[in-house]
Amino acid sequence: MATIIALPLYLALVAASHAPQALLGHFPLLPGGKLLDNLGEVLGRGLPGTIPVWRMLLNSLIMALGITVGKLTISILSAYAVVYFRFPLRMAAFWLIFFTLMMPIEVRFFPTYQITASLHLLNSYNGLIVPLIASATATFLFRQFFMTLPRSLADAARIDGAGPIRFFIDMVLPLSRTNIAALFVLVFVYGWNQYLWPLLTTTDASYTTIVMGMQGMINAGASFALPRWDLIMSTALLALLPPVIVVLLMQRWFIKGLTDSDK
Amino acid sequence: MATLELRQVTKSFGDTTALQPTSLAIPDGEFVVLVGPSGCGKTTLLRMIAGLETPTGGDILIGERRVNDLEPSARDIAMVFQNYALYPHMKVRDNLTYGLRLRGADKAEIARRVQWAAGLLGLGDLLDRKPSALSGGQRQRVAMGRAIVREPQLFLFDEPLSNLDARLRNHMRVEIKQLHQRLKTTTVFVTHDQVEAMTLAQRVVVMNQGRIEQVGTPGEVYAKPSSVFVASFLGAPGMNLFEAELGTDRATLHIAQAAPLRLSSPLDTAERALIVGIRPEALMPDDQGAWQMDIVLREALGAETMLHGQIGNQPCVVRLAGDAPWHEGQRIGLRVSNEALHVFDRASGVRIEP
Repeated sequence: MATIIALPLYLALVAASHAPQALLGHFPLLPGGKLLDNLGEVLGRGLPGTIPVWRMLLNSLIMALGITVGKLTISILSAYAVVYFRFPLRMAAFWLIFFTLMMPIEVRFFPTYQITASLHLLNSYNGLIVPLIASATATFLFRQFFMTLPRSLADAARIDGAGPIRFFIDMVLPLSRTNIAALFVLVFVYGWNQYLWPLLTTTDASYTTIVMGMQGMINAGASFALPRWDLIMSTALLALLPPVIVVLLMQRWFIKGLTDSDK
Repeated sequence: MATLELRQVTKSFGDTTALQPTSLAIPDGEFVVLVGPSGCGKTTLLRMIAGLETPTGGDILIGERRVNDLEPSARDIAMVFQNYALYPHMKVRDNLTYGLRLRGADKAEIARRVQWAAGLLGLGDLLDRKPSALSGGQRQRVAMGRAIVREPQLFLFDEPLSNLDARLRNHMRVEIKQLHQRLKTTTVFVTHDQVEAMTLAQRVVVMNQGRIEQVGTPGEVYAKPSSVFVASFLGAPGMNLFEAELGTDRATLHIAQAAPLRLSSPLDTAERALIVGIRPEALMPDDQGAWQMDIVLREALGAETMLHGQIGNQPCVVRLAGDAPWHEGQRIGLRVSNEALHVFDRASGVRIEP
């Protein structure tokens, strides 16, 4: 199983570590010695006709972090409102959120594009981030978690003099930290891997994200006399790195939270 | 410390009435227990006193101040919950001081109060632990500690002992009683357990179906239950109840398939259909006794023995001291003293005084 998953990664590593000529004809079985050179070249200069990969990584990072932070903030607040406050149409609001869960994201692309265009958000970070931060899934997960907190916790805090905001900061946030960590990982990877939306909303090359950039490279790469698979694979390795780092970092965090057993 | 007064307090949730108009005055320092079956409105009443629910009508006064419109935190009360409701991510010390810190009490004062409460409840070694590292009894004590550090005017307990095992429950019951004797803070304690009610209360408030059935000392409500409900609810096992018809002399009670009972004085009632109640300990074994009971089940509890049986076709329980020498299948003769009889109207369930 592990071998099957690792094989494409290994191929990417091998390809990224050779000179382009070496990849013609017989594909080498062992990594070569040009990995650092190739990585340095794509990071600093990029492929002919593209922006340097460090800019793509930065764009992706800004977009992914923006989506993650925005999504978590919006969804934890709306779940808090739905669970802890009684207001008119509370259940209607919840079901409205819940129904959007059923819709594939692509369905709302064109209306969303229309709105984004009318707000003059095309070719901007806001345009990349804002339309993607509403999340029914995260809201639903936070709601389910809040429902497992005993009602008397809120009562006790109220008697102790904590208002809604204090209760949120002192009780709900610290108790949700493992859920936040888990969702952070999922949403970050989701944000990082966005392909279609950035492709639609950005035409300016300086907003190219790494995922859409790679697609461009493959198209461009084929038209060269000598396909630069070494550089494309180097970029692919770089694109892989941030989600892996986030998963590893956050994993330690939420396992710690789970083994703390103070729930 | 303060008095608590309820004036015609009511509560409805939509169309359902949770609490019918209820009035009650609790003097300063008294320990009052609200007792009743689940759904009788006792917890709703307590939550309204705490300010966690808004009464539909009526006034709640704490220390002669109307508190209907005050937030729970402004009422100067403290509450202990059934599941303790400790803040799981905070150490015991922070649990105790959270309310004080929100009120902006100064550090030295907070430290003094924590010291005092920890000493009183034996929490000294637990202050730096988290609630998850505590046993049930310790959590209960922390919950009580969180209530007393605030030095409130009123303690509210919402079935605080029902999550504990039997032995610990008895132990904590004694601790709560001792705590009240030392602090003398007015206390309202809600429970469905009549043993807790009888042992803890200075006054018992028996509730049923959203209204107060009877208020009195544990002795009063046990000796003179005001209704069939109170008679059957208090005492373990509850009072034996027999359907009876009143004779024309108004002093003879006719019970199906059992010898009639004579009251010492005629009843002043026009009702014929009555219920007569006899406590299990008021039935004495007597070979010449007028009543005969077929023993169906014998429960030996050590200090006492319960004999469950049938008199005619009506069930009956007899409580005897020690290891009584009767067994299943035997027939026991019983004597009923006429002072031990409780008579109730069968239709309304109300007590009729002889």
